[in-house]
Amino acid sequence: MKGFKKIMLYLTLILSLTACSRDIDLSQESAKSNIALILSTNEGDYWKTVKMGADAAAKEFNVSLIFNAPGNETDANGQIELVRQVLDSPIRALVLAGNDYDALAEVAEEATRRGIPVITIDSEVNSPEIKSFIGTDNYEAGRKAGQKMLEFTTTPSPRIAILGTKKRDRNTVQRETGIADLFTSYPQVTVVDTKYIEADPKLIGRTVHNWLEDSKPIDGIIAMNTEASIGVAEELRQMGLRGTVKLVTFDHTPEALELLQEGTIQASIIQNPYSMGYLGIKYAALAAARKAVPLRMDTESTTIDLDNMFWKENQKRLFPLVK
Amino acid sequence: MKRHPLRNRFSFFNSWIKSLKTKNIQRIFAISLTLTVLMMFLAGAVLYSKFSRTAEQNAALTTQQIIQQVNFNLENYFSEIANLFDLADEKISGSPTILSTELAKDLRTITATRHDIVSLGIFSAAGDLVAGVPYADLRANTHLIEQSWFDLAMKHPGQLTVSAPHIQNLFKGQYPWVVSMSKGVEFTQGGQTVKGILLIDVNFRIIDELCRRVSLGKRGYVYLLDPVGNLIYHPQQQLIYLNLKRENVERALNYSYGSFKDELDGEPRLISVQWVTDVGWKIVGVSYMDEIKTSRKGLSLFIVWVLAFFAGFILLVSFYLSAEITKPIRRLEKTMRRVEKGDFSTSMEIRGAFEVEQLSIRFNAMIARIRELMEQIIHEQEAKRKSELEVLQAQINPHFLYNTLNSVVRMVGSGKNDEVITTITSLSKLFRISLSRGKNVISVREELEHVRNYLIIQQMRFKDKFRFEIDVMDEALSYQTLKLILQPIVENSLHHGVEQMADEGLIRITARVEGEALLLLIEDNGVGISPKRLENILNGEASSEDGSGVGLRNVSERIRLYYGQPYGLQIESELEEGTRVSIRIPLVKEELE
Repeated sequence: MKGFKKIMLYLTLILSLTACSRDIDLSQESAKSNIALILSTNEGDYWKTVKMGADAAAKEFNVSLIFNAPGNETDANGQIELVRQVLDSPIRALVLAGNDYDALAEVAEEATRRGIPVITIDSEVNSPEIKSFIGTDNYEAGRKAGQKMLEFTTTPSPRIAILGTKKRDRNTVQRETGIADLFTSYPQVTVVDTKYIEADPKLIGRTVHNWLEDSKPIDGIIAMNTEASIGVAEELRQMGLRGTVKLVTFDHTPEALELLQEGTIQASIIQNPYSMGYLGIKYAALAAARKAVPLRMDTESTTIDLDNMFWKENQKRLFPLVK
Repeated sequence: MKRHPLRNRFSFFNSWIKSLKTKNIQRIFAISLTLTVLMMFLAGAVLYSKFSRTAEQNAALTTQQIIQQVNFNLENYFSEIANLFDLADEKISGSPTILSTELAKDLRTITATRHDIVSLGIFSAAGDLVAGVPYADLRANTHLIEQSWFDLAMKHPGQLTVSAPHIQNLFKGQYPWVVSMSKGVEFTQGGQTVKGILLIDVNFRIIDELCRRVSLGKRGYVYLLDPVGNLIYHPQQQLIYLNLKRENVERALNYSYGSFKDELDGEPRLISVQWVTDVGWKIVGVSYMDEIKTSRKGLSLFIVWVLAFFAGFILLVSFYLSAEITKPIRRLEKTMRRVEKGDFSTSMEIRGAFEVEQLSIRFNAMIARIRELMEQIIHEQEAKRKSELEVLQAQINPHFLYNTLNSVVRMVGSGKNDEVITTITSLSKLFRISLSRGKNVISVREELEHVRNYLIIQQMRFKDKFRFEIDVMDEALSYQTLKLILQPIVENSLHHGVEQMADEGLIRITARVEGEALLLLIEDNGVGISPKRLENILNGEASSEDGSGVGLRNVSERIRLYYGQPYGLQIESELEEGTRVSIRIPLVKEELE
């Protein structure tokens, strides 16, 4: 009987203690799952917009982001190191904007081996283990740029030059292919030159100068990324050829938009970084929950020109940050 | 022995079912317990439904209050800006010329009071910039006169127009998100009063942050609509423009104040709407029903936990209580079983609840009483056997026989033949009756006959030393009596009463029915018995050397054993007067054989 009484006492104590410790929390705070987001760089409005989209998705799908990025978007080794680091923390999925098509394949596969699904955004990574790629169809974007150039050039047989700064960049190469493929169906168009040079304003200026000093001057330039666009636009402005030589670019920065408004740049093919960030995290959350995600998702590119740049929808897209 | 575990469990189940059928205390406890727990859960369910309803109402109220707060902040903000606007307006219309440095300084002071004023500009009706703070070059391709702030101010010059947030593309250097406030103004330029438009651009960030900071639950949010239903602010504005998200603005547009339930992409939501006066915007709060339900789920979990805790507690307490109650009862049962088997030496431990204690005390008293009675019975049985043996001895008393035969010899010697015949006949009758086929009970008639024969023999021996009388009611004769109860008393009377007398003694025997009893009296006029001796005789302490009293006690005991209380023997005696012994026995009719 005495032993029984003792047991009773202890049981009562334990029960009341556990009851007290449990009953306070009515909010049911469930542990959020972690998703790693490794971008190409943390510089620039483009990547900030990707991050904004990712944050919006993280809030919506109740996940926490572990965010990191190397300082430079050509730094593949630094990025590989960051991925390795993040793989050691408890993450449910990895969202990666790879800085190199081949170099990041190994870490991506390492992640998959550890049961962490990998979603790539913006730039592809050369591995069959990638669950999903979300980004711009750059070939299509290239075709759009070519189309726009054809709209603006008024001469019967336009002479076009193409300029890029990142020769090894897969996205840029795809754009170039898109442009070239389009022009093959327009025999009157001559592609005078396709050049990849360093992202140095002086070098770009000299190249543009050379094209324009030629005996047969060119009618239009397609600049395949931001650095090239700014360099070309500056040179055109200095030479007083604003609006005379047509300029079609890719991507947008406030600076480029200023040039667009004043008419130095005729059109720009812009990507959808917000969607990339948003869908990247959304698909990562789905993949972490072992749900099916599409293998490829095209975040459509848009053509922006002076007429539509201040449309309501485009304002939000071109100026995503309220500063 | 190996037993199949399943069968084992099955047999356990069977015994459990059996135990349900028998009505024991623990079962009664179990039933009342089940009822209690059921009632508890019922109460829990009622409380839960009440609480959850309140939770939903509270959620709507809270949302409404939060939006109210946002509304206050917005109205406050705009009224402050409007005050500044009026001040600038006043300065401009009061200035002698629009290009005065005085006015420029005043305007700079006004804009400097707030960091969120991006720019202030005065435009002519043609859309040319007349003055501005800070003064910057206008960009090309601004489409200024097509912009809503310009257009509306031209159409309604007396009214302060507040635009939706937009990118201000007027001035070189930046593309800020602003809310444009504009109004028609009149100013003096070149000595002439000119109509123009005053524009103040306010950075949208303040409003953006104000709305972004508001959170309704974990996922809920606030968005702003302009009077025609365009989104002014929405946390997912980009997703909506990209068609990745949707928002039901149509219903919210119909409300100016209030709450309603809505469903978007299958998710039920609670929408609260309020109107921002002056500006004409609408604040719409969206909270997700599943979050309200989540807190409800938390509540139900809490209630279930509390109930489970108390149910467990009650369970334990009642197990303990029922064990406390049944254990001593079981112990009692076990003790009783031992008693049942004949072990009267056991006794209950007196412990447990008060009732059980009382029961134990009673039980122990009962056992003690039984033990006492058993001992009494054993004692009485022994006494009975002993007295019966004594009767047997009395039946053939060798001393009496020897005496009688001696006197017969003497009578023969003196040739008294008649006396011999009488004596022998009486002796023969005496023995016949005293044997009487071994029966214990004989009729009063036979008993009297027996004692008469005895007295006749004694009279022969003692000659005329005494005489006797037998006085009987006829009615009494046919009743029954224990045999040989009169003879020992008469013998006593002869030996101790009459024999020592000088005069002739008298012995009188009476038998009569008195009420419900048969009364037999043996009276003598002998020397009597001293009170002290009488007491000794009655207590059975009389010495048996002279044999006196032994016969008396034997008779008394036999009567008591055979007939029980209140029958028995009573002696009254007075020295030199005589002794009277009365025997009282019940009336029992003679059995007819």
